[in-house]
Amino acid sequence: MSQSSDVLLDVQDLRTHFYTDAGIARAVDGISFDIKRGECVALVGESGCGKSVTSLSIMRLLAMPPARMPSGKILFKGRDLARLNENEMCSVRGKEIAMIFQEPQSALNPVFTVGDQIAEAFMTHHPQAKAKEAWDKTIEAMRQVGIPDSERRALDYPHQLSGGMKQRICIAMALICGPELIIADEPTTALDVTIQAQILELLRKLQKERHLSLLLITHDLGVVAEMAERTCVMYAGKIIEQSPTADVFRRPLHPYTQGLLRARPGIVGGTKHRLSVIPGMVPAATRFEDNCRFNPRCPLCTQECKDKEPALVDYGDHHRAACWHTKAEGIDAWRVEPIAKEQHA
Amino acid sequence: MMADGTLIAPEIAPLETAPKGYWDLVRGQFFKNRVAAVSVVIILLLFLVAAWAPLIANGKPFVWRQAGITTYPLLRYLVVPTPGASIDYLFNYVLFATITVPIALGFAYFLTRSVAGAFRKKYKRAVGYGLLLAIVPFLFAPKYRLDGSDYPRKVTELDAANGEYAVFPPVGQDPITPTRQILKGPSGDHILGTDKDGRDVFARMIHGARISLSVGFVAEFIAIFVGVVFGALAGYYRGWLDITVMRFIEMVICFPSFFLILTIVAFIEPEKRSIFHIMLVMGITGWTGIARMVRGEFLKLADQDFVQSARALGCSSTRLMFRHILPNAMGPVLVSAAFGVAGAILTESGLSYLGFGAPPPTPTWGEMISQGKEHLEEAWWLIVFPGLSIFVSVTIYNLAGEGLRDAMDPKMRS
Repeated sequence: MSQSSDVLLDVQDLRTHFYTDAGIARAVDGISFDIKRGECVALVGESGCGKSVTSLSIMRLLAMPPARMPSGKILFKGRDLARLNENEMCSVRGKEIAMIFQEPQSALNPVFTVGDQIAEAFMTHHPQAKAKEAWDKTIEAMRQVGIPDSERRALDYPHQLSGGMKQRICIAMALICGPELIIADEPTTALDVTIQAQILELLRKLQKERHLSLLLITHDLGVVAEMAERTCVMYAGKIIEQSPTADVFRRPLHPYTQGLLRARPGIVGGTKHRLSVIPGMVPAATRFEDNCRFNPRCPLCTQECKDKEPALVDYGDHHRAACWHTKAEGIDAWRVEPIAKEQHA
Repeated sequence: MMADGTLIAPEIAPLETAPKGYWDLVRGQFFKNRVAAVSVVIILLLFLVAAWAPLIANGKPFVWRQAGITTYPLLRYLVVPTPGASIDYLFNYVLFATITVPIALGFAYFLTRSVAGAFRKKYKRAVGYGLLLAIVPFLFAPKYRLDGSDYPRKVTELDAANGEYAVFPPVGQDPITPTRQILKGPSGDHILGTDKDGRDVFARMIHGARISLSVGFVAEFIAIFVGVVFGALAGYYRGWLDITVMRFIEMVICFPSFFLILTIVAFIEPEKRSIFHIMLVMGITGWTGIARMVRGEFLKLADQDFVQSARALGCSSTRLMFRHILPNAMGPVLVSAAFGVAGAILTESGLSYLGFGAPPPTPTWGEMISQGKEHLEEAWWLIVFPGLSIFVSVTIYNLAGEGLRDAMDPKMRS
């Protein structure tokens, strides 16, 4: 780990629990990671693993109650966001940390023009600014995210724009106050594949130009490989593997990560291969236990896995995984092909 | 890629004829419905009649020339406050505004007709100047009292051969001052007859429109204000605040509001009683339905992504509530307001009929019917015409409300 001054966001042992009628849902249960300046970190995992709750916890956007954060520090430039009050948090949101949401269709207010909404994002943090100045900034921001003819498009309502254009507007809104960290919560999930590539390229270009840090939340491993320098794989509220991105793809250490990589559709070496699946489902967040939470679905599961919780262990090159059976040289947990199993049965 | 390396969204830009905003859609749909469109036109006409009442029906002439002196009694009547008729004073501002604003707008258009983009800004400024001009006559209004001359009778004294003349409004009859023409039927002089004090029924009806229309609007405006605040707080913060507000609303709903209004108004001494008290009481009893509706909309909208995204940009709760959520919740509120105005007009007529309305000489439709019921057999016109105007105005408000409701319903859109 390099100098601490380089670290922009340092999340330590963050826990976010929801107190519901069905019990306590430990959606995020003690995760730690950091993001350096100008770095892109990806948070990957299945639906329901706590990725989005993590991002909302960092922004403190969860309604409390029912959510509670019983422990954890969210150090942003040395300041603990978890201890800030609502007013202080308001001045952080948008100005220092901005967020891009999954569905641009619904992330824009239908009754205002997109220009109004970008300008408002600016005015929120620059209350003394003149309307003219805000409008100029808006047009400039729209131009920077690649919207042609931005003076005219600024007067359009969200429903007049395509999904990709709307996501560009959302990015312009996020960037207009010059934040240092952008949290992108599945920014391309709702878009067409061709538009996805454009949006990712735009994000990467803006990130490089402005030396932004990016927390990319996604379940798309292709996006991760494309964008992120480091990757955290989440499962059931925990980070179970954490490493430089290239390493995750080359040498996945956790059985779950290996399963994820095998479950990607694709053509390998010109031949189609049977899509493999990880059997079972993520357990409900109210039923998480203090053991390896992947154990019901893991091919390597032993009694140890059902009894004790594995810690994140460093296997070299900042590559860490939380599994009782992982070895530094790597193991292939899924060697037994599911197809072979079927034939057997 | 552009020359400076900026990525351009290669998606095809929307067509020039792309649909407009939500309200443009609603407006288009609304005016497709003929009945609703006609209703709105009639409402606007009624409002114009109400605002211009003194210019349409007045016993005072625009110009009066007698014995070599020219006076303008009507102009003085407009700017000198009539005691006990505060609503008239308010409407006279509107009257001047309806004259000065179009003139100001015309000038703005004339001056900027060659500057395409600047028009929007000038347009707003022109409205401002127009409103400012409308206030000027009142600021410099002469402080002396109105003259009480009975011009419609004095007009026979004028000698046309000496160059003496008078210019009267279309209905040259005073709505307030009693005359000796008691209970005359409809005729050339009095189109809709006269009442028991010899006042022209048509003139009184035109002036009565001021009360009836403004009561509906002001009462409903107060109701919307109170309802939106309570509903927004309950729907946004939820929890104990929501429970408290909703139980309070249930209590308020349990009051029979008409009798509550009667009781409260009855406690105000008749000399002190003014139409504003009635508006206020009607407003603070009529907000519950709107509050419930706004609460429901807020419960639904507060979970929407755009609210979350506005919060992620650092908007405070107040800003979220009133700038981001409220505009999205106003549709149903406007529909219910249209029906509410109709209800308020009826309530006011009922109060006036029972003698708890605006204090006497002020003409209102309900009060006219109330007086007319004593002469039902000999003077049918006293009841029929004000009754018709109540019926028509309530009906068109309901039709307009229905049209608005249909226009906002996406399932009705063709």
